[in-house]
Amino acid sequence: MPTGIMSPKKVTALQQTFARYGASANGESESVIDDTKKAEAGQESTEYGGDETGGESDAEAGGESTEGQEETEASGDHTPVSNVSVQSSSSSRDDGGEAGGDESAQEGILGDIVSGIGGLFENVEGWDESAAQPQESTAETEARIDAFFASNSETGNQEFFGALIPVFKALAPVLINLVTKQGGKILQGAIRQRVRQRVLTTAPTLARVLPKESSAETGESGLTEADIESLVEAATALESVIGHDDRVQITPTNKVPWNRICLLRIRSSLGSYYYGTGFLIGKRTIATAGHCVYMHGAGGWASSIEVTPAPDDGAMPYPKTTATSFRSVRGWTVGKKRICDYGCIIMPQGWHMPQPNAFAYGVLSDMAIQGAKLNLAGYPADKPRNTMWYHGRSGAKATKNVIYYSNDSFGGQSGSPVWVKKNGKRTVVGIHTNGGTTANSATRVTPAVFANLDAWRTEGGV
Amino acid sequence: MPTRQRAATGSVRGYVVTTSGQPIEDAMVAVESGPTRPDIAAGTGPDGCFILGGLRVGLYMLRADAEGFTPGFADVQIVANMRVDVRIQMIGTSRGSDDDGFESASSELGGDEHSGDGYED
Repeated sequence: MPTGIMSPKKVTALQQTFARYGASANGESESVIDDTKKAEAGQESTEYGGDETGGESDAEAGGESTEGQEETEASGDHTPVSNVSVQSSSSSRDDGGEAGGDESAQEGILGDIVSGIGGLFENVEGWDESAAQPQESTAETEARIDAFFASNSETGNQEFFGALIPVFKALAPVLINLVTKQGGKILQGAIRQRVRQRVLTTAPTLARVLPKESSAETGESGLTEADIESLVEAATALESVIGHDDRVQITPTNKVPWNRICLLRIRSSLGSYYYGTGFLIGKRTIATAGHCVYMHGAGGWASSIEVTPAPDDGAMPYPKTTATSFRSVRGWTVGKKRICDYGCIIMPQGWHMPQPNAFAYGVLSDMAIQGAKLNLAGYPADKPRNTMWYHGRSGAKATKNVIYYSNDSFGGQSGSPVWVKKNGKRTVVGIHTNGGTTANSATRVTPAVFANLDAWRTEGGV
Repeated sequence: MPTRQRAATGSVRGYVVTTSGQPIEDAMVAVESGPTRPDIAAGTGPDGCFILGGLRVGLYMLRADAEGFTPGFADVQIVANMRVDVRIQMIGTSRGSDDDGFESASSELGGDEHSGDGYED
């Protein structure tokens, strides 16, 4: 029995949930992949039973989509495709423990992750963990919110409120407590004004369902000016970064795990440029979003991608390198399916980081993901150029193929790793792809995604 | 399993310029707020041009960042299967810039000086 990876028997006992760690040996890898395939067939009706109740549906979340085409998994969606001819990878692997960094396989890690809900946020200076806990509403609160939505349905204002429901649902803790001050973000006038108008329009209704905890005088709306300002601030903030912007800059970036995260400057085949994020999963393999390597509407496959590991403002701990070999899957390049939005960059022969260093990735159960503290880091465009930013949040929602969370992100962070840290071991469970008003989201590492990442990792040398 | 209609999308082509109209190269443009979208940022070329595609129909606010300038913003309404044009002006942060002190943004469905009619996405 290979050491370092859960035995098939254990895997079965753990509801066929898997994790793969970077530095496993040859036999281990094959064993896990086989198990994963077995699991894939069995999970359709059990663990990944199509739970679409949280967040937006996969289809709705699709950034790239085709009118009229339903977004369900189809045979061949996860068939790997490449912008260059690819020789079939050798069946014999030379893992040698070179890749994997601190995520080398250790017996028991998987069990801990699956059964041990929670995990840890990264230890980042300036990071306020207390702010990362989701605010839970009480049963009384929920009842008032339900009454609020029911009331507005009756007033014939459904279309208007329909658009606002996601915002106000997300705002529930703020609405009820009326004490949350979402400050710190200077917001532009146009959208702020619109949000203010929306809040003022809805204020009379809000006043009927909200508890009056403020003794200040109220206006015609039934809410004080301070109440309204709080709502405007919170609602406007929710339009972009979700809630208070408490992202933390990572510096220096030349430490694990930050030096596994890369800034991508992407040149499309049309000559236009884009920015994204990627992360090392092997010696020469950098995982990222599918839309970072194949851009619908911008000529398809990227022409080239300039990869810079862990830039840190003016400092470049590692040299940048231009890559031209990319991978994704048919479900993305042909199907334009958001649930297939993942891919990778194979760095040129001879390229390597000074020390072996790569993220592990794994398939975790819904429960494990939803109970975990999720970590996210990348290169957002709204921060100073070449600076890495971190955010942690718990309370994610996992659907069959997508993870929704309130970790803050911004354009430029597509392809960022979303990981769980448990007992000092990190496991990437999703590849960040989408930003949104009520939730940001990642392509989930499912057994099919796992298998492709594994193959691409092997292709790039492990 | 019930079928689900996928959201229609469109795209935006924009130009990032100084307040005197000079193109700003290597600015980064991304969505500040709006419907769910790919979290990628666009870079501008020598002509200040950028393109963001795969955006669901709806109202977006774009944000442009460039060294030496304060962030610029523009609202844009994305239309299904069309390419909308937008112009983002940025104010320089250093003395002697060619800015006139105003920050403004405008968008329209085709028809500005950079484009003809709306484009098919």
